[in-house]
Amino acid sequence: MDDPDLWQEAQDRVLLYLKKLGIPAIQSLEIAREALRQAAEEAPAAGSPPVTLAMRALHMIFRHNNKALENAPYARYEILYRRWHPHDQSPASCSVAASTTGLQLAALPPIRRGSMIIRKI
Amino acid sequence: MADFYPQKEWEAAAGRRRLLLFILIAVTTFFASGFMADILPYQGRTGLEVTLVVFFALLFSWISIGFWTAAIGFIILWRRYDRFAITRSLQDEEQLPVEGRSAILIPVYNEQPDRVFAGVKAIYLSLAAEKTHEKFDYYVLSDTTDPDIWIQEELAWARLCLEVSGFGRIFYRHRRPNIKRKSGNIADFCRRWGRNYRYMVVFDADSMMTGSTVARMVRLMERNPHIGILQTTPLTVGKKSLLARIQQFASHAYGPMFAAGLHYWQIGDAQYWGHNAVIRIAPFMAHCGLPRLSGKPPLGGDILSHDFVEAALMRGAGFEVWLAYDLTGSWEEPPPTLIDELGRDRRWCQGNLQHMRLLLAKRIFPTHRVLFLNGAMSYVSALLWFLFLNISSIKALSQAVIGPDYFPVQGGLFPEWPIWNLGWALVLLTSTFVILLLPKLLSAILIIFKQKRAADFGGPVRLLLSLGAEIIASTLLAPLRMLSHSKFVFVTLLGQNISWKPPPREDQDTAWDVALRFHGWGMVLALIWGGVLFLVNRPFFWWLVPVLGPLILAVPLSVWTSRKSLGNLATKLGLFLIPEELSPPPELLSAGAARASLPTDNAGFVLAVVDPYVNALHLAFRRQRRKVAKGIAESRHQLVLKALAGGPDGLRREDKVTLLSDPDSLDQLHALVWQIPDSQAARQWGLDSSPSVCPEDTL
Repeated sequence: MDDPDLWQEAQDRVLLYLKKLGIPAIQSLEIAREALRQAAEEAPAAGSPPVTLAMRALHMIFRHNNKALENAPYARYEILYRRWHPHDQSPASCSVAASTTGLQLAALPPIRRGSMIIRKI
Repeated sequence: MADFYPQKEWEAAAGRRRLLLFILIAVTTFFASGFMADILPYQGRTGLEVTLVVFFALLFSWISIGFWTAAIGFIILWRRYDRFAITRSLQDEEQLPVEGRSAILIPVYNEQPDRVFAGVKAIYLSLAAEKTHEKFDYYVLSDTTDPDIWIQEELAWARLCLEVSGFGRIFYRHRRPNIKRKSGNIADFCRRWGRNYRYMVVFDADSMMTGSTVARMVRLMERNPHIGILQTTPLTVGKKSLLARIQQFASHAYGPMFAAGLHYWQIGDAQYWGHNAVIRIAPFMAHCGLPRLSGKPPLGGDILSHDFVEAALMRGAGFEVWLAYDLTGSWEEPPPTLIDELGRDRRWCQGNLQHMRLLLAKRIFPTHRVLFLNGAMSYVSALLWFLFLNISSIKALSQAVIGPDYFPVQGGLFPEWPIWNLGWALVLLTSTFVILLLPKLLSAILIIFKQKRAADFGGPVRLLLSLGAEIIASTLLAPLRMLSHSKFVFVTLLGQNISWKPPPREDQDTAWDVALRFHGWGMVLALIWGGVLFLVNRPFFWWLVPVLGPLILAVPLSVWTSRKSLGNLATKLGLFLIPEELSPPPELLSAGAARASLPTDNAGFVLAVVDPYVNALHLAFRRQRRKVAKGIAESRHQLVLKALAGGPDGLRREDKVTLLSDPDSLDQLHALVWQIPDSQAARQWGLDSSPSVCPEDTL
């Protein structure tokens, strides 16, 4: 677990994830540093590889700290924010609606059921 | 508001017009069949000759329908007056307010998402220029089964909504069980959201209409409350292969005249062609639900060609079906190659033959029963032609081998010398060609002298040269179509069912081996057929050369007509030009530009697992997560482990669909994939930390 190559790999993986989120470089480094710090604290007891610990820590950061996502490009922010905060009921600007059991994208209007009658011909 | 054309008035006119059509067909067929009988050696008095004359009569009456339809269409367009043109109902009411909301439906099935959403964007932007654009919502209704395409559709939807601020107006629905295919897809929309709208405007994945045409169609529906379905006549555009260019030219040059003629007989009993039409939702839901036919496919089961039946049911419920033949701004794409066209015809053939089961069904008006018969005859006529040629060949061979029968009629007292009237045969052949070709000449006359739009086709000389080239091409391809259609009818009646595949949308040359596999059997048949005739009855062989020749050359004909290079060469030579190429409408330009600018995505499934945004977007589409039985939860967990162990290549298509359909499994897989410590295993999912392999932004 003290292998520096493994920790380098963990850092690279975290930074790659943050890059995919579109978070700017400086904020990415700050978040990555925090994720790696938390992973390093957990490492001696956990017994998992650094990559695994670092990614788990990163997901926890997003789950508990909405500020971490604030720098994601606007288009993504809403979707991602709701993914990690499914119970937040504040209005969504891109038709993303939260429900108590998870994130629901309002890709469709509310259903107004009708019947389509099938008759024998 | 009362309808512009009271039903009794147009029904009376339609009755008179159809009687006229019947008389014209009957008289010409009677005389032509008589001529045919006189040509034959025994003047139609033997069993075989009677059969030949009957087949000839059926075939001649079939081509007469086309001729008289074109002739009347020519008269209507020449006079520039049609008493029952539905667009006349808006003459004084172009700004009629629209109260009802409309849904624009684009049903898709494993189509290329970039093309589909480029089309949606073009329609959206075109309609945005209309005053009534706020009354329209857009639904992409996906029955896609390919997991990669499914994810790409979701991404394309999100991109489009962001680009045009279309959230809350442009919707995307993915349906997992593909019950009843396209008709079931539309029915699913009707059941869930139909009550929110008065009309639905149905598109195909490759079709397009201008905003002004769509707006006008909805106004026509508002003006005429008894219209259930209003169909436009889409012109074909958008492809570059030689065959597609020929078809596009034919569609533009002859299509409007045939459509005008078709409308003359049908009026409010027209057909629905499945797309580029507007439908009144309430009666559609009340009356047009399609039952399953008893028995198994191909003639039982789900109704394949649902559009004809829906039109018949709509009409049977008292609502009218009109063809707005003079509305422009409606397009679709043709099949790019002969093999693709015949693949489509295979589906349509089965669907149309299925309609024979509905000939005596309840709630169907007589006109629509005739239309069902007409649809089936589109393919059965090919088999009749094939059988006619075969019987003629058998007759010719028997005459040559066995020799003449001097007592052909049983009980005859005196010998009869068989006489072939060669001169009359030539006259009949010429007359048949006139019936087939005169409509094309008439449309050229109309374009050049009355409508003065020869410039739309590159000028009068190019128009006539294109016409000549199109006639040569369709004469060469007719035997190939005849043989394939005959086979389709034969195998359908024997019980072979089709496998449903989405048609190819891109121009793609047909490979020689593909053409050989498809047409090879026909080539062999023609070689044997021609060889025997050449040896046994050479004069008759020469009569059949126009049919046997193209069949023997089927492979090169199929390959060469598929070539984009030959299509482009034709364009350079000024052949087969169409108005939309010389002066492209903004909607078609916009769709093409949008298509060109969309990024080509990586495999969708891998993106959904790996990319945090795509993963979150896809999860957001899922319904609320449900608790499942322990066994199902365990099997899904095993699937996640299988994915982690083997990477995406170790999963079957069904595995990917299962994972995409279960938010818990996908969420878990996303987290675990990113936690993979082994770099080789991680690379299976595209997780390489070096920036050079980082995929492009998905949004």
